Amino acid sequence: MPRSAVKTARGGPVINRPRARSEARSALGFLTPSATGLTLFVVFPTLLAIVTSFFIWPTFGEISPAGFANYTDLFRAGNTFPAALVNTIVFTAVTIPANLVLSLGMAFWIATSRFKQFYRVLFFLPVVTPSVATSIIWKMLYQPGGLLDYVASMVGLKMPNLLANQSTALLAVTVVILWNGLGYNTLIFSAAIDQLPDEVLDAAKIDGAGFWSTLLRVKLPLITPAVFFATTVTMIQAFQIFNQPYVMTAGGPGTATMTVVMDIYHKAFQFGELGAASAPAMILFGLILIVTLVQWLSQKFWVNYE
Amino acid sequence: MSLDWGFWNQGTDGNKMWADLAAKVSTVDPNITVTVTAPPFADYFTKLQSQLASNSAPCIVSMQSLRLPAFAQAMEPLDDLMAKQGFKADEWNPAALKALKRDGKQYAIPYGISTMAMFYNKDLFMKAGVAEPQPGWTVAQFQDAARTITAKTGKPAFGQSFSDLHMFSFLLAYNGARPVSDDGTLQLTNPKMIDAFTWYSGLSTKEKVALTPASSSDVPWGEQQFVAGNAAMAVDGTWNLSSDAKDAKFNVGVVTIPVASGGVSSYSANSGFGISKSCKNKEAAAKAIAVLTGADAQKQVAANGTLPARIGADAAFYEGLAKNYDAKNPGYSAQAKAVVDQSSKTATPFIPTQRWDQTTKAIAREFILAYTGNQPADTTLQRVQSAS
Repeated sequence: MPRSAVKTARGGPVINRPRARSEARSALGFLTPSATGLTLFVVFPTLLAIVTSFFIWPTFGEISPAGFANYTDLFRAGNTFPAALVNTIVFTAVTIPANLVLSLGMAFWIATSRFKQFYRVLFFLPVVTPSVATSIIWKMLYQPGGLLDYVASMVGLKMPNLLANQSTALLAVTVVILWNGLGYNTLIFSAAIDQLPDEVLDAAKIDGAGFWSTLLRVKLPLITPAVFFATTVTMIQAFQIFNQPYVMTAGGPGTATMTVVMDIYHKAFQFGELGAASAPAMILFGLILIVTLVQWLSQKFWVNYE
Repeated sequence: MSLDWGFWNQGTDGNKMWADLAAKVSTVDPNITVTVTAPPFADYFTKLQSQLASNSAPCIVSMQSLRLPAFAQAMEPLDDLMAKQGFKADEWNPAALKALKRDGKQYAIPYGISTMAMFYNKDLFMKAGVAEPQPGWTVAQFQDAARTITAKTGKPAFGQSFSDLHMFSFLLAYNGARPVSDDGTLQLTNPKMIDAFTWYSGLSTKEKVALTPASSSDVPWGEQQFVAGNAAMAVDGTWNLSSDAKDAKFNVGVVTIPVASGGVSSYSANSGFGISKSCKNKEAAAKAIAVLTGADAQKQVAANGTLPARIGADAAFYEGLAKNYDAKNPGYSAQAKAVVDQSSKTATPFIPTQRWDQTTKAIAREFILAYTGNQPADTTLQRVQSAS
């Protein structure tokens, strides 16, 4: 039964007007603190960033109107934004499916183990370790003379410098980010699997469903709300990737690991051009908004809340 | 009145010395109290930007010559202010003053002066049986030494770098190529620069005598690998004459950057103290700067391991080096003096463009491709030029 059809017990909506008004008033009271915070720290800065993107706005010095110049400049030769945008989209497109498949697989595997709690903690460790620190460690593993190089040389292979090569750098960084973020989704899925109703699983067993058909036709559909949540959050994080490439490759070699947020950071806080930095920020904001909206609207086709 | 002074971290000994000098300002004028804040070098300039943006910059700002073009418009010209404090240009090393000038105006009073030099590992030279280099040596001699050391020790002899002064001073020494023209425009694609950069990147791709940075985020590289003992030679600033000798676990030698025909050794760079435009007590700030860069202060700076900018204060610097290092590393202070004297004769201040941060970021991203042979030298320079 669709939710909009839910009616009160007496068959029709009953509204007690004076009570509704007093409830509205107390709701207003409860909402004001968070609404004030949201306005002050989210809505206002967002609006200011939109305004800033139409000005030449140095961190110090004269501010002057720029029209759409900050946006058209992004596509001028030599600007790092187009490469950053492509990298970010490619990265997101690779990370989301890889992360979901791997973390789902791990969650289902953990669910069958006696050491479930231990594995959960183990896989969650990279999530709570500061990513700047883990990036430095991974960089040391990758670089010439590092562990990977050493192991490869023991079996007589010559390891290329993964972080210095344009065709391998983004992949090398992606592996680190996957490793860093897997534990979070694994934990979410693992919790969802624990909540699966026994009676449904028993019914499936009685009906003679095998391992794979239980997994794909019963368990997976039942945890789609968790999958939806994980997809949305992972995607937003993927679009905003910064720490790992900043520490490991500084956007290089060439522009191979430049990301949109790194581009924004450079323009705003290294070059002191707040207007030029706000333009890519707005484009990223729009992109995330559209993709999240599409995801949100698509959920009725594949997410089961019943 | 209280004056804020922004500086970058000088290490434990250095911070203490500068704090003592700040306290000395109050003994000269009891009305002035100077309070110093000293974050790490890179953070200092990021912080200064946002302080200037919010009109909360410290009164006394420390400024490095390479950053001056980007910050000059937020700083007060000092010529008149310092003249009232009895400032006389002829008491100073002219190159030190020039590096902190812009459009003919003095924006900061220097506390030090540095040139670039070739630092080398005496132990590795001895192990490879290569004679120690002498000031004025040539690129050909450098390449011979590098080849022999690489062959004998099995480790690349020279540490390459993305750092602007370190790399460009070697290119200047190679054929006189300069990244910025006299009128302040970036000229990375001129034939001389392409020639010099092709040679420099060829040290790893062709000659195979150079240790290449592991990734674009490795700024600095060669100068660090040298101190760690992984490269027998690297270009570094004379500001590290004292700290490199202290940190390295081997005997450090220092010599001029080798030159080839048309080459010049070397660039100079330095830092000093200026006054922010937003400062409300500019007279008092000028008075404080006069104390911080006074003759007595310069002697202390020198004894603490920084080459002073005032003429006549450098004796204390070499005495300090001799006292700390000559016993273990015979002749180090004399070697340091010879290098400084020789390179100071021809050194010119490195004056970058106003958008130098854009250039240095692009250099770290693109140059690694040339050092590893994944992109031709001329294409690399073109890409940095257009990204700036």
